[in-house]
Amino acid sequence: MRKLVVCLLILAGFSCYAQSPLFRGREMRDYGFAFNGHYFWNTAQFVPGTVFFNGILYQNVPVNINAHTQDLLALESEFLTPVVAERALTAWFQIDGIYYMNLRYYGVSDAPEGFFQVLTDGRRTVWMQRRKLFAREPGNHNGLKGIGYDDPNYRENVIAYFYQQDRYYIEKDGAFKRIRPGRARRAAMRPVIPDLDGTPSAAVPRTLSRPPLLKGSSESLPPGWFSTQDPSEERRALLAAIEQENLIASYRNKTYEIGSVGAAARATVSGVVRDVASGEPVQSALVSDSSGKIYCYTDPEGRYELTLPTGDNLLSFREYSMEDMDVHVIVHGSGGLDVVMREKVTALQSAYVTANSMANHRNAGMGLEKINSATITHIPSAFGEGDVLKAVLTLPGVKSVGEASSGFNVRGGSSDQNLILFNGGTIYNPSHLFGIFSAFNTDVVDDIELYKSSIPVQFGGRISSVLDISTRDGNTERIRGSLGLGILTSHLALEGPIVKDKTTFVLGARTTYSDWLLKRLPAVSGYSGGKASFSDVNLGVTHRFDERNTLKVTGYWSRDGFTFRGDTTFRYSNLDVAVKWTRTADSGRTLSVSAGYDRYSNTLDRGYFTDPLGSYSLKTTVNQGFLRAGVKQRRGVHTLSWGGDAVLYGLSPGMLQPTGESLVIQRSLAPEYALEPALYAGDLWQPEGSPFSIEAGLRYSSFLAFKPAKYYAGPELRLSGKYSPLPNLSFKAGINSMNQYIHLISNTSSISPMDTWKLSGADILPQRGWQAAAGAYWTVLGNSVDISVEGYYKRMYNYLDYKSGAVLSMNEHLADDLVRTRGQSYGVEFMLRKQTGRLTGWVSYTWSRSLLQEMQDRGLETINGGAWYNAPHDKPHDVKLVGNYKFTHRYSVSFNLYYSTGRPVTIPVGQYLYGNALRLMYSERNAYRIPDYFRLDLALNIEPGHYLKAFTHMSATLGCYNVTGRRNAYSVFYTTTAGRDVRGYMVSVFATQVPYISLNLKF
Amino acid sequence: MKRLLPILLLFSMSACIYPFDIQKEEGEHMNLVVSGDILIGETSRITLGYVYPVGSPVGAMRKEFPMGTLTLEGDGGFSCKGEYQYRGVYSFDTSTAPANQRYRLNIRLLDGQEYASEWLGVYQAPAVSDLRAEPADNGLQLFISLDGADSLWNFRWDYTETWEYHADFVPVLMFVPGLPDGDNEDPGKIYRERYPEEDYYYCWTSRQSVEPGLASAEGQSGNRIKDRLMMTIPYTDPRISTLYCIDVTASGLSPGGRAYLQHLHDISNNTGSLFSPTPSEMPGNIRCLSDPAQVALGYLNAVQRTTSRLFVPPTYYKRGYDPEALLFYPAPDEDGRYNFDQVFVNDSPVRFSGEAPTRENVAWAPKRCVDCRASGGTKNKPEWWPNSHK
Repeated sequence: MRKLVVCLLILAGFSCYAQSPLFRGREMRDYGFAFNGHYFWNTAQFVPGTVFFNGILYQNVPVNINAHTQDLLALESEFLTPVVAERALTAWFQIDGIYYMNLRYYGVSDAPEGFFQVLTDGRRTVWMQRRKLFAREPGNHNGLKGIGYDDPNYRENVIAYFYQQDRYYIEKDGAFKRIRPGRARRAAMRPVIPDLDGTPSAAVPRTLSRPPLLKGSSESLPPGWFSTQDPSEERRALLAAIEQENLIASYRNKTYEIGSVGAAARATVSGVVRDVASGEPVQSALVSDSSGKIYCYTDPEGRYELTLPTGDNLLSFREYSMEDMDVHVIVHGSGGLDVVMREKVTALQSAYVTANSMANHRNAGMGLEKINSATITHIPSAFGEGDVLKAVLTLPGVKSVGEASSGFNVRGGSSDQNLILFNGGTIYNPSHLFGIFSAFNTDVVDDIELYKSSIPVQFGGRISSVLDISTRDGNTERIRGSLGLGILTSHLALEGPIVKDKTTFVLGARTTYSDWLLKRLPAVSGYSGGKASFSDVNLGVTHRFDERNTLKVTGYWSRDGFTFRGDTTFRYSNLDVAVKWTRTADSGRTLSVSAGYDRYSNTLDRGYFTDPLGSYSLKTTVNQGFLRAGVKQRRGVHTLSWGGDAVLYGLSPGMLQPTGESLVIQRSLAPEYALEPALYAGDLWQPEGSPFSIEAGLRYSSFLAFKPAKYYAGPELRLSGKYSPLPNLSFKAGINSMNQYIHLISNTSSISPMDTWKLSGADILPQRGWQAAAGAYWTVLGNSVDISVEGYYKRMYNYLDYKSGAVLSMNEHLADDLVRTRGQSYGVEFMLRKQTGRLTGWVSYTWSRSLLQEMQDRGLETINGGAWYNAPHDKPHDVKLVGNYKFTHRYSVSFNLYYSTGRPVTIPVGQYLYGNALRLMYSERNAYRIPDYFRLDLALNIEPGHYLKAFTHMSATLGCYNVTGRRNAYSVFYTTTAGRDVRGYMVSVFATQVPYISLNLKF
Repeated sequence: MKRLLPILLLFSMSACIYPFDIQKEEGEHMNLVVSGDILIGETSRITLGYVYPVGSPVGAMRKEFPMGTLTLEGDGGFSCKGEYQYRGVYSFDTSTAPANQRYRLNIRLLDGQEYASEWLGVYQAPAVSDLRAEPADNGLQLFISLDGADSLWNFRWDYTETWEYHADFVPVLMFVPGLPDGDNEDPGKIYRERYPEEDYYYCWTSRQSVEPGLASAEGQSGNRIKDRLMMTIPYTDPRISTLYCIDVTASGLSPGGRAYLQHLHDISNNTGSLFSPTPSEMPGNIRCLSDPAQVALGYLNAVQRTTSRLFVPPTYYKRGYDPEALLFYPAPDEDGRYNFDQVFVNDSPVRFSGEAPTRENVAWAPKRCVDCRASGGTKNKPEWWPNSHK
């Protein structure tokens, strides 16, 4: 509630910056709600006044001032209809002998938008602006402050009203500064009658940059002066004058005129879509015309560009977390229109993925899933910490080998086949605390995009998927922050402007107190005395040089460390630094250039006490620098993109250092260096009105390994097409191929802290893969429910598996312990998603298989005799239900249900005596499965109340992870007790209900 | 709150391992298993066995296995035929086998299948540079240090523990219910004096290690290991109550042999954690010559061995219970009988004062308090045992 009001107020303030066209329509303002009082300066009556507009002095014109929007209103002479004067052309006006000046007109750029009275306090000139602010608060219908009404979104009654606020300003040291005079001082102020016949003198501070040339005078407004039917040259000239300025549309159902009248049948409209509250660009908003056939999505900088027919158009702006925005535009020629949208005030924006229900029918790409931070924080999770990866795992086609496991698997791919980008930097280990938490702080995360099928041509380097995560820009208006407290972790975020309207920052940090907790565990727990901790810090600074140039600098650092029993300590750390420059040219061409440095290192300290002569510290490091440049340009029905990127790798596969009195020889494996450059070009062909669209691209990636030199290269195809016989029905198909030159070296089922990475070289071939997919998408029930089915078939080559007893660390001949496999995966994903109403969410069912086969014949040692075998993440049946039911604005319930087939495991099928001990003989690889997985999570979300004046807003989530307390198996294993008896055990990470409470404070 | 948080964490973390039913397989035995080493300078024992379905009773796996002939050959002309002993064990007289030859084991089974090991070089024995016991918080810890020979970088050790212990009390009377009185049985007479040969106060027992100890100095500047923990004996363990002895046998290993044994240990004991490798079968060094599709399990090594012995006195022993608390006074039932057999079988009174044992003057104890054999030991004192206890 408060958030809405704040948005509205800022929305009002934002409109002051509007470079609005002359005519705004006959409907003055659609507030969309009832309110008490009026928004006029002093009286609701129009009174005769004098207006200096566009160099012409109009006298005895019925005028008034809207103090809420700081607009001059005039009654058009013929029809006595109120219209809004273009503020940029209004120098001053006078009502009842009091002069109101538009200081910006006179070049005082640091003055707030609007009109000012000129006063003097006897010593200096003071400018006073009266504002009418809008407020809403809980109350009864007949409250003293105003009338009330029932808002269907709220359980309480609400009073809405305007209240007056006068602001005083002076000029000091060349700057326009606000002062807060006391009551007595205000009473002593007297109006100044400025000399306004061409030379305002003391009424205007500083030098005039725009002298008000008096071109003539009139007693009344001419007929049709503000009318769209006005054919006069004067009006055309006015429109041309403002054509160069981008429009900012901030209200729905208004008409905006764009461009100067010309002969062209079509014109290009472009602009930036921003969040009105924070000023941040709105990414991935769908911008479309009324037919839905002409559309585009905003880029990460919020930019859009459409080619529209000249004349009347209705532009729709849709973004799942923002309120719908419809703007009437009259397109005369090419021009700009910036748009502000306001955030939806809902308890849970659980509907996610696309901008709206129809999005899937407009996009030729397949397999793109989107999720935002608001959704993440409301998906129930263990310990209540909003988790990016756990949210990603609720999507169809995404699996993991078990809960609390690092990494994820997309459509049968292994976890190292996912390119995880965080502000463009690569994250090599995306988890904290063995996989219980993800490495990403949801406080600063913006949109998350997972490409699991049609991977855009600018991405490469992994053969399964791309998870693109970016942090938000900081709030442009004021310093804001949030603080979260959970059972195991806490997090803090701060954001705000550094230089007003130019530079913002966002800072996020998390830490855990599990060390403290582990020390207090009883010895019988087995974890007493252990240590496990993590921290991470995010920093982003965004600077807008101007409307066309933006520079963003981001940094991310994380560290993990843990010790459980014994004297073995694991540590790992991620570091990513990136800088990105985005420039939008006049032609709508967008250029992005980014560069950065990523580092991942892990360290194992072992044996200091238990094996003093053999104790060591083992460290591996992945370093990479990257440079990317890409251009995107719309030309007619084509949207072209081209560019290139290069990644320079420097890997240290192992550095062994003795510790203490150790006899371990210090040694290092030879470092690996390589360069991975790539060029790409793509085109989205999207003819208007056609049910067909095609997106095609070619990426040529290459890889040059140094010492020993080895060169690999190959094309990567990206092709997808769409056919939409009906607006709400579409069919798509696509195929893409990928190459991967860096490999995770691990023989565990999930990513472990000691996993290392290895580059392709003379003895390790690049992984190659392709995927073909097809799907049907149907939107029904008033565009509120999406039904989709997607099928895919994927092949992979040169994926690395391991020989029995392979030694993976400090192995100079590692390739000898590896085997190459080919993989195939296929499946069908059904999904039903509801995005509107009290109940939102989705249910999905996936049937899929993922199989591997060794490519070499090693005789008896060939894995499973050379037959296809189950990949570790092969889970054929997978059902996910994620939902949210909103009782009121403040209270909602989230639920999450997950069922899947148990993952494949290798278990003992035989036992034998060897020496004095009983030993186990294992089955063929992954021939058996652990028990099926089932989990239900529930959470109650309580959003902040409606108290407008509160500085802080507290939200809380009470939940329970694994409500049924099912002991889901992470793995099963067998031991020979005392070497004489075989016993089976099951590891269950969360073997019982895990209640949690999470508190989040925003300020 | 201070108490609540650990409980919450425990709630989710402490009880995360549960028993899981073993998936019992049906069917007969499977692959051939060859275990043992070629021990240069002593008698070698090679055991043949089979892999049985998991869940099979271990006792049923110890079958007689005279199912073929085993011969050991050296590339310098040494040859020795294995003599079948029992339950699949074949012995070879390798006490005079030269250490400078390479050896190969040949197996011919009755069903015609032929197996052979790789040619095996002999690994010299390491020296046990230190074998000692040190007290720690959780018990008495035994450490071993080994020095390798010139080219010996991988080590193995096994051990045999022997310990002497004693009963809690020396009994005066023996409980013998229904002791005959002449030709008649006297139900009321339940005791007699202990004969001299019924001295069950001191016992000795012995057991062998199950898991071999493994260590490697590969990657080190010196081929030795220092202070490797072999085991921890709790202070209340009866093994160190009187006199404890450990005989350690150390030998070298080939790199492949160490990797095989380590892998065998890991897949039998170290699976199931979050970061455990996927278990798999590692090939040994025995091949089936007659049918390459047949896989034999096992890895033979040809080694020399060295031994070392350590005695540990009862310095650190702490009795974990109070034997006095187990004493009780007997009471007859309604029929005047002492039906101790309802509770204790052949239990003995241990304390006697006065001429006739009565309820008040005889304290009784369970057999395990007065008969050391009840704890599994025997009266067979090793010849080399250093004290005079009987």
